Amino acid sequence: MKKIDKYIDSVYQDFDGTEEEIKELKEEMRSHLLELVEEIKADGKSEKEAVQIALDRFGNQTELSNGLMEFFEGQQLFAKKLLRFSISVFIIGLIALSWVAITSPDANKERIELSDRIAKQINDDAELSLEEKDQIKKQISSFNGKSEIIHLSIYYSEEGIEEAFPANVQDAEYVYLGMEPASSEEVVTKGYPLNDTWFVQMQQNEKKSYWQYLIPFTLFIVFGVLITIWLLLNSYIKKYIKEVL
Amino acid sequence: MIKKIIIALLSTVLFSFLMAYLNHVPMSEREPNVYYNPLWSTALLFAMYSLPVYLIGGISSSYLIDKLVRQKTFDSKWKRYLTEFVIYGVLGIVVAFIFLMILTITESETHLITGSLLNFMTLGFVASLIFYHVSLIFRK
Repeated sequence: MKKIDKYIDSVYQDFDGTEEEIKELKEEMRSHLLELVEEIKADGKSEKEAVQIALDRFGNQTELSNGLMEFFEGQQLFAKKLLRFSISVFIIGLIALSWVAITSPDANKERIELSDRIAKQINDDAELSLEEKDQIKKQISSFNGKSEIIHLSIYYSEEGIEEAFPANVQDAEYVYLGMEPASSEEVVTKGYPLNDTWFVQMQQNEKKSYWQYLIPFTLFIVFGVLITIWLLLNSYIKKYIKEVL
Repeated sequence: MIKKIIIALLSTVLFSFLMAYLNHVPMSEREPNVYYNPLWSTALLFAMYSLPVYLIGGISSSYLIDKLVRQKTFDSKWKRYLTEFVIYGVLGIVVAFIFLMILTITESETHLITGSLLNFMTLGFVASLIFYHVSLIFRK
């Protein structure tokens, strides 16, 4: 029986595959050989002779299948390369996605931050003092947001922001003029309460495109297609190797 | 395959009820004259969106992970768990991103993706790990 094990090990020593696969294939081959040995023994040969005859017969068979095996080895190499390539595509997609997620401006968050800063300069009385206006202007011009302000105005309303928004610019207590609105971008108007009676209204250019998100999206789709091809190829190779041996 | 579908269905139920519970306003904090959805209807709303994502994205990515990871031998159970945990988490984020992109493209609403990308990715991460742990129960 040791001879059989040695033979099987020699067949599979250069075989490319996972441990589990090889173990499975070896087990299958072993059971085939043992069956053959039992058959020959039933014809009246001794065990030693039977093992030798079985190995000789099997040797001829493996020579036949060697050609086929070479063909499959090429395919296995291709499958390995395909897997590596698709995983690299996936990793590049991940990098692109994290880059986009970090660099894309969150306009809403920026607006809330700016209105918080302005709220700190304002008290509850119904009028803005010159000093307060000066402070507000300083806050706006020093604010380093990624999206540009077209227009910012501050209002006083007894009813609060729910009733008064959107307000007419003529009623504003303070107006700040920023950039010209760009035609390719969408102009967004948003209002935020500063305290119970004051509120701020902001107009901003908001980029109306998601092309930068399309890069990681496309990469992930490509990964999906490639990995599907790999899965199909892999199951096909496994199936045929089992049939050949 | 049937096992995977059952895992996907179970995870949908768990995820939807978890999300509904997190979005639920308790009785003590409710304002008068305002309608609040009951827990099950919020859960149903979440299930409507998460079920197709689980069935398509969840099952296919879990199949892929099985193919890639199960063949490898690990020194310890914890190493296997940790590896699968990370891979499931990352694939969950990616599936959530793809889902959000499809929503954004079909509705042509830019604010969908600019406003809620990070929230969506966090939800995808959580949802994927729910799927993983449900499948761990089924593995034994």
